Amino acid sequence: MTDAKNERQIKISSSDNEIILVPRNVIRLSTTINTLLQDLGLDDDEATNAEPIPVQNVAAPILRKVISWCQYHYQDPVPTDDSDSREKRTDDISSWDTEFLKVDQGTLFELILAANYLDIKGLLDVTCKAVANMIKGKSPEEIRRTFNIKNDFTPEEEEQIRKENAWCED
Amino acid sequence: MAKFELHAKIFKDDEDYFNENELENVFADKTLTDFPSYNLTSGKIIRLSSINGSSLRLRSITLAEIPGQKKMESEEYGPPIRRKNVVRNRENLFEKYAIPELVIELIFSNLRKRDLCAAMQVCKKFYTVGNLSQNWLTTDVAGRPVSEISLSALMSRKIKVLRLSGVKVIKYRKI
Repeated sequence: MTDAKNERQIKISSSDNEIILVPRNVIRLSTTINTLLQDLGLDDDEATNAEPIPVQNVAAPILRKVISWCQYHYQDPVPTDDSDSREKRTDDISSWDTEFLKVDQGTLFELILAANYLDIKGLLDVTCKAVANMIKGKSPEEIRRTFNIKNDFTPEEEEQIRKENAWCED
Repeated sequence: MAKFELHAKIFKDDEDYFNENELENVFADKTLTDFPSYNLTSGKIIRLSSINGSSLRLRSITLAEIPGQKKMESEEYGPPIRRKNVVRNRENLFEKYAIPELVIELIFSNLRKRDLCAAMQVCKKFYTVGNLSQNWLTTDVAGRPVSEISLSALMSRKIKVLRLSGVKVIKYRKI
């Protein structure tokens, strides 16, 4: 890739029609947009694309946050495939990401949806870890309260599941 | 009235120690008189998270029930209690944002089995997703007392290796 190509700016528009310019190399982290640019042959263009790429499911404040994450991480080494088979850890969130994820629950969930939609694996992984950390060490009732989830089990079902998982309790 | 002020003080003390998870667990009881008495001088040892009851949040009550008192508290205890997120977390965000099951599975993949078991007892959706989790591929129940119900439940999950050495199988009587 030539330097000129690296510096190319891509126009994307949020669900609330805000147009944001992102360097081509940064938005590469979004597999969705990356594939789109490649498939439509937009990478052949030297200039900035005239028509913004619509990101219909993501509003501008979240999109900007997503892009700021990509901007920080776009030079990270690509994780190898065997990373999936490694034992999962949730205490390995970098300090930059920890700061980045200091948001209210609604924003966190919107980031998860955006990362899922735009297919940004690193961002999806780290946001899911953040939610997992909110579950860890809690009782079912405490988890319900954390996320305001209604218990939709009948008492009989609840008892059955408690028995199924009884061996797990310490 | 004295009780309301007391709670306001607790939150003010805790403000520097802003742990989102902890705060979200704070609920007001149906009647505030049910609150135990605490030692006001050390805010951090006050654990309200075990108090169950209505879903009204403590801070909402503090601010709403005593409009006349707010100013006085500001003077006495410094700036008013932070309330920017008072409405936060009143709804189930998994439902609000229709979080796909694949994403919930990804969240669960970060959990140890003990936490996954707890999550599966939360609601039907979590149970379904947790039951299909890859986390069960290798399961070690060695040395633990395991019931037949647990065993048959485990066998219905995605399980390849089940370590059973030293397991005591418990029989549940059918009711």
